[in-house]
Amino acid sequence: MRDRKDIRRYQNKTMKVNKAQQEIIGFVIIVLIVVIVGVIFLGISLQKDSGIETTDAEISNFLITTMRYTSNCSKDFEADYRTISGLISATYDGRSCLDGRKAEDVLKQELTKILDSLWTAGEEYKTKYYKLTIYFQTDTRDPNTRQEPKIVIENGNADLCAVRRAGQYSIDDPPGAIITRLEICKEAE
Amino acid sequence: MRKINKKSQLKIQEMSFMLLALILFFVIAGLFYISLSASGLKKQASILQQEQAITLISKLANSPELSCGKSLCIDVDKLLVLKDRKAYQGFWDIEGLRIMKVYPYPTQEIECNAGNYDKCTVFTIKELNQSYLEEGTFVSLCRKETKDKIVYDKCEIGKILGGIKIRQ
Repeated sequence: MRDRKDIRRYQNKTMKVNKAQQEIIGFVIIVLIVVIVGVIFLGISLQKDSGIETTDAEISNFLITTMRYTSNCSKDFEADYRTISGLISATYDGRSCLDGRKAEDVLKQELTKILDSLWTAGEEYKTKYYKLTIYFQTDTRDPNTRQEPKIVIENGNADLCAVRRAGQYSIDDPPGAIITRLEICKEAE
Repeated sequence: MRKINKKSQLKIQEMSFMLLALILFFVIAGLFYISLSASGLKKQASILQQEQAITLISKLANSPELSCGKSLCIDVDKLLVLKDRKAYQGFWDIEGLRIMKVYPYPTQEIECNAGNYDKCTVFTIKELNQSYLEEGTFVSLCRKETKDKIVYDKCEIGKILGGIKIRQ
């Protein structure tokens, strides 16, 4: 009789311990699920911030003003200097300057100097990386008609990109347009 | 009977503590999320404020008093005249207005006047109020030049800078 009572007591005790363990496991599972969902949500929201490329008024304004910059490449007479946009058109037409230099070489030289001076890129600077591409697009509304770029100037380290911004400028050249696109990568704001 | 009552009380207590802990957890998680999203909002607000300032300053560059006739283009000859006109000090609805030559010039700031026209780098039209932040955008700086008795437009790259109110 006594043995039976002891067995029942023991069974009751072990059942209580089991119940408490189950509750603890349940609580841990709930906390784990909430934490995992939170981490996934945070990860997605942080990813959204770093990956998106935004158009930037400063870059667009920079391109507009750069296009008007007077180069040292004369067209028909000494004081008839080409602007950067004129040099781009001349590059696509395969023309040269009055002194014999190829328009494409002068354009590359001038753009490299301007970009290095105004968007100095590198690990120790605010601008981590820049890339300027000049390409022809046969249909301005369809990005798939984009041809291989004629000029690509880049500097810095693209792996350090935190904030990606871009701007572009197009020069009408029927039936399409010559597009100059500048992409700038900066450190996190 | 007493034993059963005590047991159920304990259970209720256990349950209430559990609920309390859960609520606390969600409140802390919620606060963490709100603070994160609020910091994002602040960042967005400052970007918008900067964009707004750039738009306002671009408008100034396009005003007939400064413009060379094209958008984002400043006539340098007009700047020299405007610089010394005290009547124009109150004309600009902005706290501080400076135009800087940025390419192909050194970063060193040399104030412009009629004597150092082609070697200077800064035109101060209106002094900047110290409690304002200077914000700006790129503009073309164009002037008439002559070579072999032929007049042509020479455009360089500059920046128009204006004071904007610092929001805390």
